[in-house]
Amino acid sequence: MLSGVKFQNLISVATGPAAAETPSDEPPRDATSMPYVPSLSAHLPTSLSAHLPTKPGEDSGVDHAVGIESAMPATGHWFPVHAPQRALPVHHVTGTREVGNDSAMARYAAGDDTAFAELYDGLAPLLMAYLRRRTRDRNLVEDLVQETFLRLHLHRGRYKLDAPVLPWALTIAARLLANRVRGIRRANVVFSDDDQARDEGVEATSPEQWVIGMELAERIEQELLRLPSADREAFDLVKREGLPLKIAAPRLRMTTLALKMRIFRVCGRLRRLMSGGSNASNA
Amino acid sequence: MNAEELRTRTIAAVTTCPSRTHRAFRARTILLMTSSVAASLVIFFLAGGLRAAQRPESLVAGTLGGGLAIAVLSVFAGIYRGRSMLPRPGWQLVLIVTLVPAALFTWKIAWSARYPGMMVDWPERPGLRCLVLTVAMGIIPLVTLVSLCRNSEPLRPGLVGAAMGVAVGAGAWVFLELWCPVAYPHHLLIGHVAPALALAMIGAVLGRSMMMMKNSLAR
Repeated sequence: MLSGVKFQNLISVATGPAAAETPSDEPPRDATSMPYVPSLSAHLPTSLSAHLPTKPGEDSGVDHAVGIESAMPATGHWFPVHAPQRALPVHHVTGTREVGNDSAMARYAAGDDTAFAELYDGLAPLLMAYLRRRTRDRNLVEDLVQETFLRLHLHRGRYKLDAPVLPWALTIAARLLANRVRGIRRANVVFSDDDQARDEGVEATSPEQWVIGMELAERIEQELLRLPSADREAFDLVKREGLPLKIAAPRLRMTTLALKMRIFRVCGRLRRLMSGGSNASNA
Repeated sequence: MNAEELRTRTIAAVTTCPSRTHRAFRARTILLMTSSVAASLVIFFLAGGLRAAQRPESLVAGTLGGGLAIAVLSVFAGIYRGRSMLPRPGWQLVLIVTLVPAALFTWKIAWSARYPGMMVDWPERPGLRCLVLTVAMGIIPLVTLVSLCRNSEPLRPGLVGAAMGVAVGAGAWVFLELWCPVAYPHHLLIGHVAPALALAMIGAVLGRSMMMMKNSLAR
């Protein structure tokens, strides 16, 4: 049996202190609202759920000072990323084991595909709460939860049958989030001048440039409409929806390589169009 | 999207994406590792195989036994993770990478020093052939090991790769004991220690580039 303090640490790491603060089952749609944990208590033994904070503002045992940094995902929308400064590292969550999750993962690794749903039900609330403590972007959290489960699925052969699955899953989620944030930071470097201008309320581009940009965007849209449907579908899945090639290829009934070449071709066509457009505007 | 939709979407995504079960992965690991070790042995025998001439049998047995023990320990510490899916802490991996070549070198010197004339300078054998042979023997198992863990390491992929490299280097060192009769320190540093460290560096680079968990789903 776990000690209360140890378990509180785990819960704080996995869910954050605000985990139990959302009163209803309906998740908040506002990106700045409190994190939502649908049924965390339902997945815990009664003796353990007693340790969960039950009132808003009740401390769960871990300092949860957070820093907020701005970040921009590929979609172009801005959202705050909450980077915990003093939370326990993920790989320290080893003292507690959810035997049910471990056995479900063991069965799934052994080839019992029906165990995946059980594994999902056990891990998803914890993963979601863990990620929501770090970012308030609901879409990003959902994407990362799905990606984390895909990694668990892809690497199930590597799973050690006596290893706890929760620290592994949380570490994967943290790595995927870090990768996203790193990509976002790179994007920030690219767009930093515009962003600064926007923050200062200064128009970053002249009206003329803005009109040229809009025209170019419209031309790209028209060009996309002129593409063969297979090309357009491939572009939409991979570039707009951001689906990995491995996932998108079976949906389009083609090999990954063929899809990659198709995307490359479409992007080349669009790039030529854009360079032609910018040349024209420069001229 | 509510929780149920996310669940449905995730399960649907998983069903469209094939993955290896534990048994299939183990079979593949055994097959690939056996093949890569066999390829290393082929390289070893093509280079001349066992060359025990001019050395007392007890010297060969002692250096070989000590080297083998250290190699087994380094494989255990550098590759095996116990009951965890996460790699060892960073300081332990750094310790493995630095201590294993030092331990192999120290053992070789200490054991060879007991035999008169076994550590005399041999200027025409600076150790370049040993270096090439060790790297050639170690690179195939190392690449195999790294590729088995491709895109799956969420923590410290570089250090994990370096530990793998040094473990493979220690294994290659054992075979080199059978091949190389030279034991003077300059030769050992260039021909035996340097390739183990080179394999660690190659492992670190491969680990960072291949084992690091990226956002693409390549396996």
